[in-house]
Amino acid sequence: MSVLIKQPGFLSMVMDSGRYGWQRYGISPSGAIDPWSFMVGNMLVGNERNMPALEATVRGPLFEVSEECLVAVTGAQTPVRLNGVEVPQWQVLYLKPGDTLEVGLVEKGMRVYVAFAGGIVAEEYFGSASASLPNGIGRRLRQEDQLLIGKWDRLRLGLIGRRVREGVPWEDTSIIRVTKGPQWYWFSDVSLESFLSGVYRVDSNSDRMALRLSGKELFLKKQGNLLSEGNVWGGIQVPGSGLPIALLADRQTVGGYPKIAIIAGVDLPKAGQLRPGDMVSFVLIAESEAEALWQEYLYGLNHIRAYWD
Amino acid sequence: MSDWRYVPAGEQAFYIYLGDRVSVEVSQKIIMLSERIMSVPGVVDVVPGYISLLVIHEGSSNKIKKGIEEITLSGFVRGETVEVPVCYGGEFGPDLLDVARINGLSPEEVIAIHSGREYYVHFLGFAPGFPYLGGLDERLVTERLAVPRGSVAAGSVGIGGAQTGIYAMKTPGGWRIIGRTPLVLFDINREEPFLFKAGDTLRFKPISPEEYVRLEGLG
Repeated sequence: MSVLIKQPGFLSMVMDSGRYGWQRYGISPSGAIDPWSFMVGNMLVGNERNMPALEATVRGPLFEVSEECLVAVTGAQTPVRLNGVEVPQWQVLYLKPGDTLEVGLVEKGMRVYVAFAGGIVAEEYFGSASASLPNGIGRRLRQEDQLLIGKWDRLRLGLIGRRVREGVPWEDTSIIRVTKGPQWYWFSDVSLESFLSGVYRVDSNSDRMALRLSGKELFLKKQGNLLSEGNVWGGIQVPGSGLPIALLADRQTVGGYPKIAIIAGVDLPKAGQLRPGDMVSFVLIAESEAEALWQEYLYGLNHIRAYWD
Repeated sequence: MSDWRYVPAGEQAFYIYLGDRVSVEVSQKIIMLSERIMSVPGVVDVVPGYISLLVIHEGSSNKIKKGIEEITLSGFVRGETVEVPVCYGGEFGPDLLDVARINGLSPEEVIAIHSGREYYVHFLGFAPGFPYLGGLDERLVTERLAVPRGSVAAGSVGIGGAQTGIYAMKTPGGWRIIGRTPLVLFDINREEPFLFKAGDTLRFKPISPEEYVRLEGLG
């Protein structure tokens, strides 16, 4: 079974849940930038939650399938057409041989996922099939590419029509919860106040590496010299310009800028769906609350069947 | 270890600061801890820094910290000495003359000082295979470029403040470029993808442009 890419969209790549265990060699984790949508897509079509799927940014692909298959489109709100007829997202679709699926221009959010029953069979590097453009691993999809899809049991035809009933966790992207970063206390009181009371705009030069934000500038109490240290997903670093940068999946593994805050894990999918021009506010929560929210998030994933019918 | 400092980094990671100053001793502890910590259940990945190790984990951080407390670190990870041929100056090192002028040295002296000592690889990070080196001679400390270059070739050898290093991949950068090596620091298709590892010692060896071309052809 293969998928012929007739139009690749704006930036479409194969992603799984990322490349872990290699950051000490400078390899970025990469992986689906909205892990919730990615995993739910896989689970809808009966896959293991981490199987390689497509992640498309801004505009999705148009493709034709060689054999029958099950597909779920999740993530950003996007019009999807099966042989030209609009079909729903967050629902298992049945495609017969020769069918074309068009994932259009994203209307809300930034990244849309296409999961196939059986998963995409893609070459793994350092234990992951995720493309990482900054690391020179894998590449974006091009017209005429053929994706190989893994085997799946026809019993899964019983999944057709299964859909997610309730909303996705990132429907409101205007508030991002954070905990204190390792250098929180390096910042002036005025800057901490500005960070939590201000509204920040997502700049157009944001990408899978980072969200570049503009708004109230943030400064240190006194000029400190941070020895380069590891970067964490969702770390919000502040370079000399005073404008914060939130690090995402394709982040460089190490950096030397002080980190004022860390985005709570539960809001990382949201951060991955922010688009240029979006306005966000940061709300400080305690470590214990971030942990509780994260456990709730994992519970939601593990009991995803409660959200669909 | 009692003098280690734990600092949270969200609910799925924390930093361990193992010292206050950059030293080979702290780096050695970080290298050993990086290896051994991966067998603690729940540890997903680690990211070393000059004096810290970022630990990314699943599940309770307290349980993982207990596991870490049981790790004992002793001995020394003796790395290899890697010779790095560098063609200094000319088109490969457009900032060599400026680095010499700013520091009141001749270009030949800059080359002799830069290639006249060994550099310890504290850790890899930032980009695949990029080594954070220690030990730049004080006479070569030079401010970064006021305006970074839009593109610096892979293999470029530069000086940025008190640091020297090699660009692992073609990237924008503000370091002053004094030469270039034909060695490839990261090649995903090579059996050993990374040229260096933490704990190695690196020595730069001046080569001619002809030698550069010859070695590049071999690579």
